[in-house]
Amino acid sequence: MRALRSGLLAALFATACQAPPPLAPPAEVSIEILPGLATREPIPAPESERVEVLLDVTTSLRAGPAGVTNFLAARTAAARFVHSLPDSTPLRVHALGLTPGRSCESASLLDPRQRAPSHAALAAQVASLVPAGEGSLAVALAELRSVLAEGGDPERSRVVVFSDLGSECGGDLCTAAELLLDAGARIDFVVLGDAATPACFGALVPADRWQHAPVLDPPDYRIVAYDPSPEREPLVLAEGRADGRRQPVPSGPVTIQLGLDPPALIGPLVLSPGTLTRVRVIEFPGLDPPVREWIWATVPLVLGAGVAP
Amino acid sequence: MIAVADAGSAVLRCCLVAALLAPASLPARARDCVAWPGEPRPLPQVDDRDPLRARWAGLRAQELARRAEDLETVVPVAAHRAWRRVLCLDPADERALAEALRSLPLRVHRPEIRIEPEATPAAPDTDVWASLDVPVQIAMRADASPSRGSGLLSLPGGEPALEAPVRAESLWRIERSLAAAEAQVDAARFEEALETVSTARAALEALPPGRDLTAHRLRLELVAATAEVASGRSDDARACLARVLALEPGFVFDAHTTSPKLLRLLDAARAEQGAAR
Repeated sequence: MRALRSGLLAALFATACQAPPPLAPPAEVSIEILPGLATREPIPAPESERVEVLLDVTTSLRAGPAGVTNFLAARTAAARFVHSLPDSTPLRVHALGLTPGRSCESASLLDPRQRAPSHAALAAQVASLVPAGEGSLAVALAELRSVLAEGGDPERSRVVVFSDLGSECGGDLCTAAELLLDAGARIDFVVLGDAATPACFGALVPADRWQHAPVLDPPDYRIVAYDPSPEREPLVLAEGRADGRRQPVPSGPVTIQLGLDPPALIGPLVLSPGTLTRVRVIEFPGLDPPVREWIWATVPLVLGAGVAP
Repeated sequence: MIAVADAGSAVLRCCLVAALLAPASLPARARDCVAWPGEPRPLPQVDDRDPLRARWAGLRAQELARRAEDLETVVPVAAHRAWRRVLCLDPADERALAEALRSLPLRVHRPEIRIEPEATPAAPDTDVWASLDVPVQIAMRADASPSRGSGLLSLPGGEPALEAPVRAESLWRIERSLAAAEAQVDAARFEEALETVSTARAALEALPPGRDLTAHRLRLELVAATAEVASGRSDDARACLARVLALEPGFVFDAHTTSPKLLRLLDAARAEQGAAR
């Protein structure tokens, strides 16, 4: 009996002193959302577009026989346009060339105190404008851009320029137009005469910028051991944020609970030791009907690779 | 009504057409087609090799198109941006292309100027914006000051009378030809475009000296080069590009939106010019 006991003890001791068997590498999981808009955004309330007319009545515009025609045409076209705008449309008229003298001056605002009872009355003022001085169209546009930026919502402003595109006072018309476009305004150049359209106009589009339409934030997830009997409390194996980062998870059958609205249950899927399971979910709750799709793929883990995404 | 197609649409069209001519292996991606926060990086396109990313691009394009429709009458610039974003995801989306062009926020109008002894009132226009293209009538006689009470808004007296009707039509006819050629390239009617270019070239040559026509000539040669490349005539395209360089030695294409073939031909034309010197 004693011999047996000592034999068992020796065997146990030997077993305890042996190196443990190598552990199977855990599985890894990454979950990534390819999102659409968080929801279908409400459409902004319609508002009347503000119209800013910039009329070139500089003395240089009127120079020469063709200039007379261009000047009269610019003034007539501007007056016609102002006259035809509904009185409910917010409107301001800026005229370039009203300040007497030879130096290049800024544009002047017609009817600054807004006393004209109607657009027709303002149109009558436009129709009687007479050139008195000089001014740079580019500078006038740049100044107008500053006014719009200070005054509220350039995205709801439309600038209408009546000119022969003369450049006696210099300034970079392309840059000025680009600044206005980037601020969100629309521009209509009504060109009177035969001046060539600046080539840059063809390349000018408003800068792309991230619009007020946020996509979904990555939701939280939980990976739980798969249990066919749902009455038991699920065993949570891992949890995190579905931002594509890799996460070690004990191998075995699991299900993934994704905190979307409504929640998504992915699986069951079997995580094998030494593999990476990459789950990708497309989520477009704002589409009609909403779209939610997912796929997963499993690849062997590369030994020595970190757990960074 | 004289409607000269605005240069903005024409050049954007050309750029997009040039981009569409690029080989399929090279994504036709505009400079601003980068992923917004939260979107997959790099921004997928509908022909992405990864089916899930391709699927996402299709759904995102659908979502943005709907957004653009919603915004069209409320914030047109935002709608224009959304259509351009759809083109980032699906460069072959013809509707998005048409809408992006239609909603270009910079427009050029060139109404005809009509000088008539007695002006007649213009027909009322229901669309105030369309009226920007309607001919402008000026009531004026060769020996008289502007007429009053003619139905148009009255012009003050004292304006100098015209010596003769002045209608500088040649240049805008050339511009119209160029715009037409660009539209023909856009519609893949390359041979027709080259015929139109030929007409415009002849008209440009016929203009009297003294006017700077560089911008017109550049536009003409670029349209011609695009059409020649698309028709498979690389040598002719290179000749056009050589003329471009002669007009503007520092000319460069936007590498993000221009077909690699055009880029290579421009490089070749530049190298030839360098060697010739």
